[in-house]
Amino acid sequence: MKNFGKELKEDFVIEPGYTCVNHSSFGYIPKCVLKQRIDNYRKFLENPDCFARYIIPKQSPLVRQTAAEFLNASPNQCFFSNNSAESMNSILKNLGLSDKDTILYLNIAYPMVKNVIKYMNTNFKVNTCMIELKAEELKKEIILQYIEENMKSKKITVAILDNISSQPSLKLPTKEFVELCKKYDVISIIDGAHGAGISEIDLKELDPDFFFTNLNKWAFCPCSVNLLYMKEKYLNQIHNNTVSVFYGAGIEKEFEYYGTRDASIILSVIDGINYINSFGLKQIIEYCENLAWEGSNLVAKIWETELLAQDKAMHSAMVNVLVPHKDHSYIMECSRICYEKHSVFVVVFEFDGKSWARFSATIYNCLEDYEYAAKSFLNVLKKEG
Amino acid sequence: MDTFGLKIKEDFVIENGFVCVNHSSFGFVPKEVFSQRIEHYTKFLQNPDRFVKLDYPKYTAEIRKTAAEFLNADFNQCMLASNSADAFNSIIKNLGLTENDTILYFSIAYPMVQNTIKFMTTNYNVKEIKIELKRQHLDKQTILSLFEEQLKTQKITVAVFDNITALPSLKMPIKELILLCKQYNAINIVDAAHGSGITALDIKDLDPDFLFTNFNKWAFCPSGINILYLKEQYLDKIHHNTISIHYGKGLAKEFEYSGTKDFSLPLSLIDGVNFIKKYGLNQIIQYSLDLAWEGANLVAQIWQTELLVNDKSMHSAMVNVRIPHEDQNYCRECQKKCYEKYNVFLVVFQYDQLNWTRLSASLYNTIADYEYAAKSYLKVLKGEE
Repeated sequence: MKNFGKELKEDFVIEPGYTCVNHSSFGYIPKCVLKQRIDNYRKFLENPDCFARYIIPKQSPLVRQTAAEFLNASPNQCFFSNNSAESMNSILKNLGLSDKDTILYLNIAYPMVKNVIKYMNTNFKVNTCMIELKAEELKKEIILQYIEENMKSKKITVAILDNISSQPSLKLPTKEFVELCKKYDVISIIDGAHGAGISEIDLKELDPDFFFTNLNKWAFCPCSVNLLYMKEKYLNQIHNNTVSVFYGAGIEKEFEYYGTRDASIILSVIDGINYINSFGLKQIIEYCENLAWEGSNLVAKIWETELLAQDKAMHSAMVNVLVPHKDHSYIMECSRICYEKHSVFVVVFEFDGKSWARFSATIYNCLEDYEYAAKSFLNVLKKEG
Repeated sequence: MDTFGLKIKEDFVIENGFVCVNHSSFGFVPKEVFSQRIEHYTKFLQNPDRFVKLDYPKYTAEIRKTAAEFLNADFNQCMLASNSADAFNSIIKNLGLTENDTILYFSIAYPMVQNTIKFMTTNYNVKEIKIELKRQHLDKQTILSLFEEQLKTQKITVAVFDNITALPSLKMPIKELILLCKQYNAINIVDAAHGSGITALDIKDLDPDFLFTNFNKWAFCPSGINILYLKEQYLDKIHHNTISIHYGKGLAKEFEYSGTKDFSLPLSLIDGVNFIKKYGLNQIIQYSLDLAWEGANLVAQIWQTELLVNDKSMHSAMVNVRIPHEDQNYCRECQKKCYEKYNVFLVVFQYDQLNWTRLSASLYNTIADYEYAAKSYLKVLKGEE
């Protein structure tokens, strides 16, 4: 069994010579998972009729079982979609929300989530309430305080919180959030896009109304597969956002087939989870969180800047570092040049009037990667190469 | 044609020993398209950041251009969708239909289309009129006159009809249907799921309001590629059914990215179209049409039954033959047994109270396939296996 770090990199499908410090946007997969994936895919293409009719109905329950177990949930409450957008659209558009309802969310919610909320507001006049968090307010107690304040003073119907936000990336207090939702009778939706494989998720314990998570970001499944979980009481209410041949035949069937597509990809869910289990989820999380923290602190040192949030406990395996430049367009351009010249891609984004870089760490990363990324990006910023 | 038939079958990804007489549900791909697919896919997985952020916007332009040329449509009006459900959901839910509107469709419309219409009636009180087509109505003149009758006597807002229906499968008079819609000021939507690669679609000539077509059924692409065409006047009105990060940024961007997925898949559209160009679309259509007709007639002879419709001009490369048995469940059981025992899969469906099979023909088929399928299934039906 190989150790985490450099020696594991050759076991992964990564462009030769590429330094990856952004594992999490789409995910990179082990070679063994890809090999199995292509085998499954060929089997599907060789005889799609029989694959869809005879193989998938047998395999699909096993996949759902494996994924549900991994998240400690009941399989009958877990469904696969292509991505978080499909899951979120399916939930929010089927809660029967109207102008009498209000959706609560944070300003650091993912753009797709914000757009679905905007859609609900535009088309159904649903009220919205966004909590604006500034850099200095990115603390667990403050976030919870703001959430509770809003739930106390307004009639909130549904509230959405990331498990781990995207940009900026922070680990958010989902357990306390769900408790607040229960206290104030609010439907809770957790955007766990970043979740499976990088958090220890226990849905029975967490007990949200809704939860969705990508299996390709951190659970070594090819891009992309998403798992949607919901409480039993919603099983008859929620429909797949895409209406297709099984509309009305039960949510299970609606998510099993909703238009022709590659029916073989979900088989890779088992391969990804097996890969995680071969190392141990706790071990993976520990390595990644520590390395992301160490690596980002190193970047901050090289750039002579700082981290967005100083508390390690507020982070998963993604950490945000201040970019030493003020012009965001210029910074975006440098990100592209840095990839072309130095074969390393640095994620940059704007938050609270400043530009930040987000660094991810996974099991094939090592400290060198962050040193290399920091120096390369700095060179480009300073137009020194 | 010498090039087609058994010789070309070895160029296809088909399960060893499997006799395929149902090319059209999902499609079967040429080996060269498959190997290019794996190349594109590996490139994507090796560096999804680069692929999605830098390459993909260039690729989508090329893909849409290729599709637009192939369909003789304007590039700006062709969108990349995943499948027909994706396309149709996006259209019908964004036309602003209310209880003052009526949707017209045929009883032989595909279940996804019928369900989406049901969704509109359930959720928005939109009215619907279904033209019942029984066996005796299945000729061009009757179909057109029943259609016109509704347009004349009812205020129809939008009409949906197939280019080629699925079950039963017939070629519909879309040119005339579109003209009728224009005459009576109804929006027309052409479900050309069966279209690209098996009909010479000329969108400039047809001039529909909307048309969507799969590239995996007959255009030798893997599952999950669909093109949605729409008239310019709708570009600002329609939204992708799945709200995501590009919501409101223009339809092309909404369709380009509606959530994470396998972004390399659409590249196969170019490979599929190149494959068609290699042999010539008209040659492919001619071979497939003639063989489907010949094959189906042979099946009817062996079964001592009949075709659903006796007019060759009402057919594409799919023809329906009556199964010599009354019990639908039994016919389905035999379908499974026939696959298990004889490695041939026959589509089985019920229409107008009788049981039918639908036979498809593609380049790699020969008349022997239909003889084999007919004899095998008959043996199973008679319990003689």
